[in-house]
Amino acid sequence: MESNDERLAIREVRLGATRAEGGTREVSYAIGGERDLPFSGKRPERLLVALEICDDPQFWPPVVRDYVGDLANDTAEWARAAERTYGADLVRLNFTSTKQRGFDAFGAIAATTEEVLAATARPLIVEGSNEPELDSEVFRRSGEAGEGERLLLGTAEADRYRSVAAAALAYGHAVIAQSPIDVNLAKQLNILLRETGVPQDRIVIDPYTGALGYGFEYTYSVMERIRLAALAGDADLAMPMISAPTDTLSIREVREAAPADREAMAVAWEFYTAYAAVVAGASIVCVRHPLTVARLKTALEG
Amino acid sequence: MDSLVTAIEHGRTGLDARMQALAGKLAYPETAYALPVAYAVTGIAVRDANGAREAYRQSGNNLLVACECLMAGEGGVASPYTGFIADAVLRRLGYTLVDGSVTGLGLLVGTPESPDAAAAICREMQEKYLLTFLAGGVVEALSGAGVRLGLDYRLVPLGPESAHGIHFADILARVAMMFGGVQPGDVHSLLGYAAERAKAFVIVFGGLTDEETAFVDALRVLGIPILSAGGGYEGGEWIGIAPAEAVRTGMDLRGIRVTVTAIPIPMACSPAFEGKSIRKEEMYVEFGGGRTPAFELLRMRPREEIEDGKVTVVGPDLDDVRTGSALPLAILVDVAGARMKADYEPVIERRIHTFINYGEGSWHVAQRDLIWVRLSKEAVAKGVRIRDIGTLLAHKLKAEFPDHIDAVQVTLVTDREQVEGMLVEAREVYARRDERISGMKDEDVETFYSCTLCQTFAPNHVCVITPERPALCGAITWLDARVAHDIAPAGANQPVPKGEMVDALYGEFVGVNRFVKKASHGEVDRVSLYSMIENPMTACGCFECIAAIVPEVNGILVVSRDFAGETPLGMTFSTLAGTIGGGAQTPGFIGISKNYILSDRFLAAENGIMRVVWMPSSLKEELGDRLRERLAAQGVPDLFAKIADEVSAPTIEDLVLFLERVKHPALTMRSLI
Repeated sequence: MESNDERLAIREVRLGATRAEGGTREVSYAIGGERDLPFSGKRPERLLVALEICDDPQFWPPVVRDYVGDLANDTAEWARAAERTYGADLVRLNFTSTKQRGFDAFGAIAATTEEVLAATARPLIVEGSNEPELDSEVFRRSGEAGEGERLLLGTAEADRYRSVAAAALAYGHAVIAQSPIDVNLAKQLNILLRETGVPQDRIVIDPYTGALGYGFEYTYSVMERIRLAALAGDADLAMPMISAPTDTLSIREVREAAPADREAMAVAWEFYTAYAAVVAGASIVCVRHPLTVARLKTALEG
Repeated sequence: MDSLVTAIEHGRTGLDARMQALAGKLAYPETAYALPVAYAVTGIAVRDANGAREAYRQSGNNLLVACECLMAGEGGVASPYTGFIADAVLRRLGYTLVDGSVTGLGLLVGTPESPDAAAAICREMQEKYLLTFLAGGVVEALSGAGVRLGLDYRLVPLGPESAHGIHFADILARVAMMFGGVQPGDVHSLLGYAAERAKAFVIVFGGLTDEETAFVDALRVLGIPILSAGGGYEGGEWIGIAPAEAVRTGMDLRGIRVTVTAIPIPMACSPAFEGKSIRKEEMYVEFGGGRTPAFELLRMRPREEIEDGKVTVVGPDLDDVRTGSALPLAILVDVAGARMKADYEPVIERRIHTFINYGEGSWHVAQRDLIWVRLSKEAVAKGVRIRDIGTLLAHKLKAEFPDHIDAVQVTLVTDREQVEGMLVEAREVYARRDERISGMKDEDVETFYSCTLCQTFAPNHVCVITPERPALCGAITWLDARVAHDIAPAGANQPVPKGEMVDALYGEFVGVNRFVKKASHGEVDRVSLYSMIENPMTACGCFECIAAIVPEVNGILVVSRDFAGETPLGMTFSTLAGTIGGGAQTPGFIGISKNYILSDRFLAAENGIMRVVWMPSSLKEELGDRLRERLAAQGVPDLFAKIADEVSAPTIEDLVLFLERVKHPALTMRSLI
């Protein structure tokens, strides 16, 4: 019977490569492998928390900038602190510099990727550009700079997945496949990636989310449906999930909080949304406020 | 024997002899793939002459393997030539191929008679986003003509001799291994990758030695067409061509198309908008949906009758109508393509639904002459006009069916008189399409087809399409689904092996159940194809008709989408539709196509057509003679008159009286409930 065969488990995706695996990370992770709904069966080995950083802080939430201070101006130090000071399992590097008008500093993309890889020994998630026209060059540079390190590259979407897929294929990385809160579009994108040649054990689904109280419930249902479909045998949805509730830091409750409460409000909102995403089945949650990392780790280990 | 074949034979003999005489160590610099062609074809990592001979033997004396080994024995080349391209550089090149920033690969070899003609070819290759490799006298000729060469210009000079063109083959072999997951030694996947992914062609000029001729000819094994643009090669499998035609021909032969992704219309267009609807309050104008005549028709036309990309609007456009109006609409799409077939028409026509829904401010339901289209106030305020629907369709059709459609033109007619005239013709086309399937029986085939096109609206709905049961939207027959699967093997129509039969009368099959369970994401375990009570098929929202049980008379009524009045159940079509759609199984109610009513398998488990007690007169009229024939064949020619309609039985009380008066057989059948 099919019920207990391999196909009904979520595929394992490996992130990061240790020296023995051809990279330079001190640790690598295998996410996925679940055979049940979250928390109903065997608990996953570990749930991972990524701290997001960026290479141009002018495009970063003020509440985080205020907290990290000068670190924001030194991407490598920020990455080092993410691991050593804040205790993140992974670092997610966002190339916000590509948001600058007329961006063409592609050399800096490779250099920053290398610096961040040197500064942290944890596996790295790399977010490409915000402009489709820049995608090709940005993914190629960062993918090449991270060759052998099994990066998790983001983000593939239905109408812009080729560049990130090409970088994953060329340099041996995994891909985040993001769809707008829709189980069928998630599946369609995974099929497109498969047809491009990306192996299914190198895809992580990002079902996309808003903040808790701002539509998170839709994401929750879609995550549940993705997981149910996967457990019922749909191989094109049998991938682990990642969630990045980035909107939580710019919602009204945070923006309009009294200055003294703003940080606590931001961390609370980010924490509860990320925690809910874990409950819905995310293997990795990505947050931006350093204090949220510790809070999540305590909650997840407790 | 013709001259080309003679040259190839001479070349083969020469290469063969040199292979036997080869000696010493062999290696290319900076690669993990040894001698890549030999490695990909045989799995042998060649290091020296003996290894080379073994690989050559195992490859069945493949001349590409021979040329590669011989080239590895020679020294490198000086700048500006690249010679063998290192893995690191190749990864970047391969990246652009997967990425789509390069559409295909070309190799130019030999010495052109006219440098300017060669320069023109290169310019065209650049314009078409092709990555071009150059080997032989063509490099000098181009430099002389002032053409800039190098990776940045997508013109890569491999070497001064045409024989250096062998690096083109080692590039293809490595791209297949790096990006295509092709394992060394797996010739089958290598050839598959070369044929489908690495779309390449060769343009040959004159001045090749016999050995070089033999090498170029050997590239054909990778599915690469050889276009000879001068040089006087005759015979063999090479295609003689004027230089000016070379690039276009090469692209046509390999199906390389430059696609424009941005559609020049003033609204966003993406699958993300597919599931949203435009409510009455948000609507600026609508077409069809019962208010006005409207239809869509896609037809194949000879290429010369189509002006690609042309959109024509006949009749009033939106500037002439007020908010909330309804206009008639004919969407006439003409397509042409070398690989287009008339059989594909209905399948591609059905995609009009999907594409119009991609528009941020456009909405479409149903199909054929039942369509209902809306444009939102917001979209119209941003400048969207009727013409934009045509532009959207023309772009999407070409982008989604690049292998089948080379040219599209769209005509949108909003003039009532003209639409009504064309409607007659369109209905004839629909009828002809329906006829092709008539006569086929479910027991004649081993495979049914699924349709999950509507899962964006009804995520767990699965249509199972059999020869005797078309999709419930009426737009896809079993033949259409088979064709759709041909066109898009990963698409919404998948083969469903029937498997073992569980129940012949109810139409339950092991294979169908297995498929539906998976495709419905585990929601539906069992489906009876011929029953509306036991595990009926789910419905999306596109059904042409609804069949519903009328308990009071032990019968079934069928109401079609175009009937706006109330049925004897006290509900209109749209009220009923609201109860049964969305991908659920609703025993006692089912969404069906009109043609299914005429099928031998029509709700066979509930005694089929004999149970039908009521239909709107429009549906009865439309089925007309075909229904009479069907009833006569069943031995009940008088049943036609016994089926009530909205005039003879508007309410349930009237229906009871009517059926008793005509002695409808349903009254005395076994109880349905």
